[in-house]
Parts: sequence; C-alpha cells; structure tokens
Amino acid sequence: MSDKKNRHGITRRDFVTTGAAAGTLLATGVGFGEQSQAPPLDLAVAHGPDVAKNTAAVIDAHGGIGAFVRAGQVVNILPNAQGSHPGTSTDPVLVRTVVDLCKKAGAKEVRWLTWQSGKYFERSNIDQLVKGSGAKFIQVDSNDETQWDNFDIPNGVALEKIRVFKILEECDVFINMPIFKDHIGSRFTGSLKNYMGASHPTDNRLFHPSFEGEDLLRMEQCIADLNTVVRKPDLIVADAMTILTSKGPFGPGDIAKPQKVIAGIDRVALDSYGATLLGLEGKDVKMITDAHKLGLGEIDLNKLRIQEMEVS
Amino acid sequence: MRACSAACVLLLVAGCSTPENSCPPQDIGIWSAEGETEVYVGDDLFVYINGGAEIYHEYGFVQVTVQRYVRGNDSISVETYTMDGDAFGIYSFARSSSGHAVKLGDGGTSADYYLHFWSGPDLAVITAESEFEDLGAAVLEIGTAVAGCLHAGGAEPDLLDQLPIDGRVPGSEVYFTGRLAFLNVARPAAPLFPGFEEGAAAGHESGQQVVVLRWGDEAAAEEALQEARRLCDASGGGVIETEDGGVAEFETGGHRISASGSDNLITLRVLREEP
Repeated sequence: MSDKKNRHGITRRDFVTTGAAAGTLLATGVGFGEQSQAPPLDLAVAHGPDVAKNTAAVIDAHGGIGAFVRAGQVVNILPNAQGSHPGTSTDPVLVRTVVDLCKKAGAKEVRWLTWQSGKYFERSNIDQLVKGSGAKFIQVDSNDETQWDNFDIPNGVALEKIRVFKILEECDVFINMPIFKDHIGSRFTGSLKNYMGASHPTDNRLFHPSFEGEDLLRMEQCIADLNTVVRKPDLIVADAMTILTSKGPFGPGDIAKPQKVIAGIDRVALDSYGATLLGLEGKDVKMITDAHKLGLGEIDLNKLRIQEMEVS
Repeated sequence: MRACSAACVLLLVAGCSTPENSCPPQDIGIWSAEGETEVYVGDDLFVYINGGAEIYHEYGFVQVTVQRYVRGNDSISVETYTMDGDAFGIYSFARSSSGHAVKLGDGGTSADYYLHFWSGPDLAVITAESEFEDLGAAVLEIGTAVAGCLHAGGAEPDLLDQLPIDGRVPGSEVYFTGRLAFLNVARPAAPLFPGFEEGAAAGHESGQQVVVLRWGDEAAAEEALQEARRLCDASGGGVIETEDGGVAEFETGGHRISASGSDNLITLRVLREEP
C-alpha cells in the first residue's frame, strides 16, 4: 500500500478502521477517493491538528460534498454556538469549511439557522469567520408563532408536542454541526441534543423536571422524542477538536483535545462514538439509549463501519 | 433598562456589604474592557446561557454581569453571578475539581485557564478565551482586581461540618439545595432521594462519594429512607438491610449506595461503580 499523501495530507497506510466491518475495508484495500462495492461508511473520523483539513477529509471519505449537495440547492446548517468559553462551540473553521464546500458544490444558498441571540455567535467568533463566506444568517423569532411548526409526537415517551422552526424543513439539504461535550443534565451533548437549537426555547425549558416527583432524567427522553419528528440530517459534521469534558455545556471546565472531526448521517452512531471521547459509552448516556430504542440509529460501535484516518 | 433592574435587584440582596468600587473595572493593568458590560437578570439568564442556565437558577440566581477584557489578540471574560444568598453553593458546584486553592474573596479555585471565587452573594468566573503565554498570571491579575469590587461577608453552610473529615479530598466539597446539582455530584443516588432541604457532598480518598442530606425533621428523614427503598425496588434495584436496621444498601444500575440515618440527616456512601 502506498504512503503517498493526497491533497489533504492523508496517507492510505494511515487508515485505521474499527468495528465489525474493519476487516472488509482493509481486505478490499479501499482507500481515499476510490470507488468500491463495499457498503457505505457509517462514520468517518479524521484526526489531526488542522480542523479544516479534518473536515474536508471526513466529507471526502463519504464521497465528497457532491454526494450531499448539488448545484442550485438550498442548504441549512445548524452549528452549536454556546459562547466564548473554550470547547463549548462548534469550531468556526469547521463551519466555514463546510460552508465553503457547499458553495463550491454550487449551492444556491447556505443558511445558518438559529433562534438564539446574535451575541452567541459574536462570542464564539463563528460569525466573524462565516460572514465572509456568503452564508446567510437567519435568526428565527421565537415570539412569532407563524415561524414555528407545532409537531405532534406520536412515538414520544415523555413529550407529546414540540415546536420546531419551520425553516428547518425548507431546504434541500440539512447539515447538523454539533460539538461533542459534557452536559450537566445528560452527561453528554452532541448530534441528538443539538436539535434543541431548532426547537422552541420555551418548549426546551419544559424538558427539565419541573416538580419534585418528576423523573430527573426526563430531559434525555425528551431529546430522543424530539428527534423522532424533526427533519433527519442529510449529513452531520461533528467537532471534537477541543471539547469540554466537565461543567458543560457552558463551562468553563476541563478541556480535552481529541483533535478529531467526525462525519456521518446516523445521529445515534455519531453520539455513541462521541461519548467515547468523554470516557463514556453510548449505553452510559440515557439520551443515546432512548434514541436507539426509538429506532433512530445504531448505538453499537461494533456494528458500524467506521473509517479512522490520520491527517497531517 | 436592564441595568436599572439589576441595580434594583442588587439592593434586595440582603446581609452583605455594598461594593465600594465600580464593578467590573474599566481597565485592569494593561487589559482594557471591550464593549459594554452586559447584564442579565432573572430569566434573561436563558438569553446569555443556552443550556446549563438551570443550575444557576437552582442555586438562587439573581443576575450576572459580563465583561470582556482584551490585550492585543488575547481576551479574558469576567462573569459575576449574584445569588439571593451566599454564593458558596454555586461556587462549590462550578469550580474545577482538579484546580488549586487561591486566596480571593471568601475562597477561590484556579485551574489551567480559568478561576472561580466567591465573595458574599457573588461568584466570579474569570476565563481566558484563547491560549497565550502568561495566561495563568493574567487570569489571576484580573481576578484580584474584580475581587476588590464585589460584595463581601459570606459564610460556608453549616452542613459541610457533617461531612467526615478523615480521608476527605480537599476542595471536593459541594453544597446543594436542588436535584440537578445532586444528580451531578452523585448520579446514582439522586433519583432515590427526592425531597431533601439541603445537601453536601465530598470525595473520599477511597474513591467513594460521601453525601449528607438534611430533611426538615427526623420523621421526614425516616420517611425518605422508606421512599428510597420503594423507588429502588421500583427501578429494578435491590435493597440489603443490615441486622440492626440502621444501614441500608441500595444496588441500582451497577452502583452500590449505603445509607444511614441520624436525626434529620441521611448519610450516603456511593461505594462503587461497575465498569
């Protein structure tokens, strides 16, 4: 196997795979940018110091941005912008890289959705970096009911209804862009919980137990329930470059630097992998097991086809 | 409008001295305040913190002021949370569990890029937003300046005295009055023991987590132990009684918790967590 580097500085012999499909991937000798008859990847994981290269690499591993975005399409993105504390917000360079790739693929419009105050984005420096990319910032008004869909949740265990901003559905491609980190309520936050950035903030507060006898872990089931009705992601690109491992989601707290970017489309699989970066397993996080039980994705990493790569 | 509301609320914070200097300071050494001081009162905290604001409310949040300081490309944020009573509780919850003690206000803890300290009803959180060479010294310099303009005169809760001293991990004490904090300091035990009035927890050098919970009276504490037995059974766990009935052991979700009652207190020891 050649160790010649491609344009992202990835060496084919650096490929490492985990999970049940690892043998298949190695046996077929499939490398970066090659066509194969192997089943599609579940997760692509790039490790290296450069977040932009990692981001490009994981998208390429899934067939390139063209596998997700075509010319003339409208793309919605949902980053996590928490604030200025280290390890709490999706890396601005990751966001910018995805936006640039979408534009390069010919996207008619890339829209960054939020109901949050613009101050979040100022604090996280995401806006500074993304403004120049041509992405359109759309701030949904939480007081304007016409901007919200009220979903019934027929399979909900804890939730019966939830409001989600309408514009989430009004696109050709939806890219979820969480950061993996600690959370005081659920121990972990990632792809599943990032959808609370699209559900109504007033409804979100009801996720928390409000009276003495109510289930303390209610929030985790509510997040799983929410995920049964929101638009599925066409792609998830998750940030695990610098992450908060305690006192999350706001911090400040302990920091780890896995220097990874992970991409896939299975929310449960992404989060199950992400939990390992905080010393947990998917089964340790009720939100992830609840979502798995609701049929939202695969929790067992051994059943996934995961491609890990070193990016220099 | 918000600033006015904040001032009014501050006057209601009882039992503490009024700060003499303007807070936060405009300039600290060569660090300059950037932008206006932001103030968030009551439920406006949800505007400032998206996810995690609930814990501040659980501890009696009144208001927070936020100021950013810059020096070239380096930046440090200062958040001052004012609570409706002494801020030791939220301080003990928020501080780093691996930091070291610093003498600021009524007590402080410094970690690699941030610093918490409390002073009367105020909790100050000083955070370096980027990495730079003299980061630790800069965070401490700004913390020291902020300490001079906070309220003063706090006292640690008496319940901390009920935690065993032998083997206690220094700086691991957490005081709490709500279930979310309890969930975070002793996750397996929290669902079994609702209804307490206040609690204190600390790590033990053996790896155990020791928790003391206080109820209104002895009868309420005894009832809480019975309720814990019922909740543990209902969740599929097991309860083992000692011969004299003074201690119960709860097995729940791979954890073992011993519980013993005395007067209106219940002491828990979270004994182990299976892999």
